Amino acid sequence: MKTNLNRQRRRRSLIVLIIGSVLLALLVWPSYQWTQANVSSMTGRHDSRLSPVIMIPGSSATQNRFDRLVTQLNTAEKQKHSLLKITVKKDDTIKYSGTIRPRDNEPFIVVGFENNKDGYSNIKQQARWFSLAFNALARKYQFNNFKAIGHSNGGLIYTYFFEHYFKRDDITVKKVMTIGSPYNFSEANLNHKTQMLADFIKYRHQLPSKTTVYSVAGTENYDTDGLVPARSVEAGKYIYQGQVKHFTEITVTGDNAQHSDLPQNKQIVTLIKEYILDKKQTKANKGLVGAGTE
Amino acid sequence: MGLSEQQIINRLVPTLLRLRQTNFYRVIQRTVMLTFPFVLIGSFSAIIEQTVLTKTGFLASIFHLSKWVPYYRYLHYPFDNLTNLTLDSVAIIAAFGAAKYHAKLHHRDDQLSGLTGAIALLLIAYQYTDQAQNGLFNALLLGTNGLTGGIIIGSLTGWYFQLFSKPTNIVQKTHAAEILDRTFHSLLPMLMTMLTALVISIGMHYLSVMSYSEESWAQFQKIATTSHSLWLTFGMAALTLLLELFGLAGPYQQRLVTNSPAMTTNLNTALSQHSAYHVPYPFTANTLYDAFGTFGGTGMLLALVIAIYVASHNHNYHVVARWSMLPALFNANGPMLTGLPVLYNPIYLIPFICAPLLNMAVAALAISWHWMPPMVYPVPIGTPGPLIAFIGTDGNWVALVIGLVCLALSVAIYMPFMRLSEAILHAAHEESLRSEMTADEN
Repeated sequence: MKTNLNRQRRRRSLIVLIIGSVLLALLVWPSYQWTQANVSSMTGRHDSRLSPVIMIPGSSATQNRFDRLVTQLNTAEKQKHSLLKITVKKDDTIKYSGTIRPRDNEPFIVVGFENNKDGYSNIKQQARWFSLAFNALARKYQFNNFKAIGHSNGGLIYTYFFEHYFKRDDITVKKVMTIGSPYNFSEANLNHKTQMLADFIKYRHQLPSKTTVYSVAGTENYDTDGLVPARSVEAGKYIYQGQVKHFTEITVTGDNAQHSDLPQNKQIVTLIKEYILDKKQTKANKGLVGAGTE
Repeated sequence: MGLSEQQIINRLVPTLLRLRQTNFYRVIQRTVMLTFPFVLIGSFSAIIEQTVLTKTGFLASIFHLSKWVPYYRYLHYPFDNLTNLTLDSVAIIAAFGAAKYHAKLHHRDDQLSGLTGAIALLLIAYQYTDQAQNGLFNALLLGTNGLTGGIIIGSLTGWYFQLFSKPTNIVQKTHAAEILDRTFHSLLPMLMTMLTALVISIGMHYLSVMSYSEESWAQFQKIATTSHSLWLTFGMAALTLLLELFGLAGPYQQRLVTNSPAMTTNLNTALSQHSAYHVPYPFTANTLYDAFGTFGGTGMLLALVIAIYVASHNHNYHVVARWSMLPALFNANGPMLTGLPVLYNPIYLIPFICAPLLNMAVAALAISWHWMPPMVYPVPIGTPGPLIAFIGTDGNWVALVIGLVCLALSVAIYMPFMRLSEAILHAAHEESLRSEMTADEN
């Protein structure tokens, strides 16, 4: 009787053991596929030499906002960076125009929004739209680093994006430049912090700590670029200073220092060339060594 | 072998049986058993949360659940809650149990003693902050790592009841007046316990013991997990296993450092070279301990589950092992630790430490002979033990085979100790039968 019970008990346990083993065996193949896909995508990203410059225009501006800047940069750099323009529609769909030329390792990508209105709630919306576009780009082009340029509200969208959406450890942002970004909106007095600035400061610990940030202000007179108070741009230091690796504030004056002209300001073009774009490394060398290397 | 093993068991049984029958051990064992159902429910909830409802969890990853399951982002909330209040609050139950059983053993009011013990633990774990929204209690003291602390506090409470209150009759008293009378007998030890708890709590807060020790502990864990010397890795693994058996957290227990510098370097090297064979740090906590020493959670308890299926004659063992199968498959060892129990059990000390270390040694040899690459690629949370190395080596079949060999080895190591433990249970059972018979005769 006892041995009978015993046998029954053991049989039940052995059934559980068999079920467990079968379960494990069934999981082997999906695991294999997952890890192969995962590793090959990681390898692809790791090997990628693509390092795009992703730009966001300010409010009321379209994806064509940086056309002149790109032309000027291409002339100055004596090399043609390709230009890809993206518009994110209100219904989250993404529209592409332009292409990235094969073997162009530093293309410009401009992300515009169908709803490009001003205001904190719109900026939050636009940051979410940008994250959709960014993820689509990351999936499509497999880059492991990028450079960010935001003009006016574009810089605010970037700040919100970095604090709330950018949580990838496989992609780094090398450099950020915000041009005439009103971190305190049109409020010139830094004692009066807008809700947005307060929020930016509250979540600043989520900013990427290894990046370098440049905040460029333009001034027509001593305190404004005609639209944005210089003190509002300066407020960026409360967000970035001490949080990112380097934070530099630059003020440009003179011709084309009016807010909307800033992207085609000659000094700013030079700054972008110097600080944001990758140095054309060893191009002369390559010519000398010649065909042997490839 | 069989005969000599039997002889050894026969020689060990009386000694271990005596240890089992000490009051101290009885209280501990009953307390651990009391936590078992809560740990079981909590473990099931935890594995569902970690493997299915976390985006980077094992089942979620390989079946891309986050892409097609509706409302996926919100599904984990109820499981978070359930896990938090069962598995991660288990020390409260332990404090209750220890205080209750200690008081019962000495014929004191066990109900009040148990509740007082639980409250004493909460008093100690209370966090004094200025901000109300912060966590009220220190999670470290209430979770599985606080189990030992809970038992100590519970036992102290029981001891206070033993010192400061009179024995009560076990006979049921139902009159309100008598209950009130009994309550007043217990008031002194209750107050004493709570006062002591408050003093400890404020003292710990004043000296900032918790935050300080947490910090230095995190620092220590960081050093341990980032080490890449072979001997340090083995030493730290042994320490982790020993501490875990006594209900404490070892240096490798919590994976605070998910991306240690050594791991990152390994990964980058492997990605650059398109091969994982020649990475700079082949022998780390990750490549050896995590990959081959934790099947079924700390202590290779999946092996004990299988050993019971194959060879046990004890009914309870089979039941516990069957319930523990699924959690153990996804590396939750709580049900086995508290159900058998393995926790605080000197019999399982040797296999609990030796099985993982032997597996690590096998893996280290296989890596150094280039039979398989060290595991360098990311592995989802809650991956079943034998598949960890397989996934972490980009699907290297040798790694899978070595994982299975390690599992078989561990089953073989656990087998004799399981028989010894069974023999003791059997002896204890017979002894209790015999004492009942002599009691009848009297």
